[in-house]
Amino acid sequence: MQLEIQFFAGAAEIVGARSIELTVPDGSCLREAIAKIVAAYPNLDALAARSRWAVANQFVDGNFEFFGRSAKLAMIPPVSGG
Amino acid sequence: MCKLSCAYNGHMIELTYNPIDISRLLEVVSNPACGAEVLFVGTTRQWTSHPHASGDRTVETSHLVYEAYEEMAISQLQALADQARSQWPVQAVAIVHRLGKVLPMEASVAIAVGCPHRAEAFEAAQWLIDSIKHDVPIWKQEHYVQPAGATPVSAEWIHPTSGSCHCESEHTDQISQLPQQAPRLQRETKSTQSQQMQQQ
Repeated sequence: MQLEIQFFAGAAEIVGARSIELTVPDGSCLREAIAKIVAAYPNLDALAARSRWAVANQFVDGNFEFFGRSAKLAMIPPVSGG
Repeated sequence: MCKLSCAYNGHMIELTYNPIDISRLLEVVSNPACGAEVLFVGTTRQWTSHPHASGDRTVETSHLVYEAYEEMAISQLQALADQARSQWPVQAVAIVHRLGKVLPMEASVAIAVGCPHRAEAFEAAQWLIDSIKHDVPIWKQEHYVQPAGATPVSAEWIHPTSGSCHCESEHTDQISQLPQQAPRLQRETKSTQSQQMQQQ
């Protein structure tokens, strides 16, 4: 399946893009998707390890399973608003 | 786009690229059932002291640039406003956060809460700002004043490590496991929280 991953702030700076597309096996969980993202962008490893992830505006955990032919995912590095 | 806003469930939630109109927040939460309106304004600090082994080091900020995952930030702010209302007798909540470039002493965020009495209004406002600083996808990039004759300091995105916050509330580090977790401020700490709020 096709995953669209959105990046913000320091993560977007490391990746050099606001979003990327990645193909992952159907039925992949978030943990597997993160491993694939970090393999593609090794410099993202340290920040990814302390980031949260969101699907449809909700934080999801590593066991979250993607379904369908395509899905959107956002990497949420530690926030600093306020 | 100039601003992203919504009037939702009696709340005012807004992300804006323009200076925050503070008085408008108080107008929004003013209500005949309220005897207390608490307004918190977070401003951009020009001078920040960082502890160092060889003595504190002070850096000067020229400006901040805020960025948000806008649709999620709005939905998180709505959820926090709803949660504040379920936890305290909050009549109305107004939250406005700046995006883009913000200069020192300008407001980065403003929160107003209206309640029948002051203790609960202070508590709810404090809980809201602490929660925003942990759970709402907004980030700041700090731009520094370049020290004369020294190595230039490049701008950096701020991604705090856990435990580095200045929150009064207790936070868990595993919020991703608990997307809809209950407010973390304990009611028995009420009087202490209110005093600290008044001193700020």
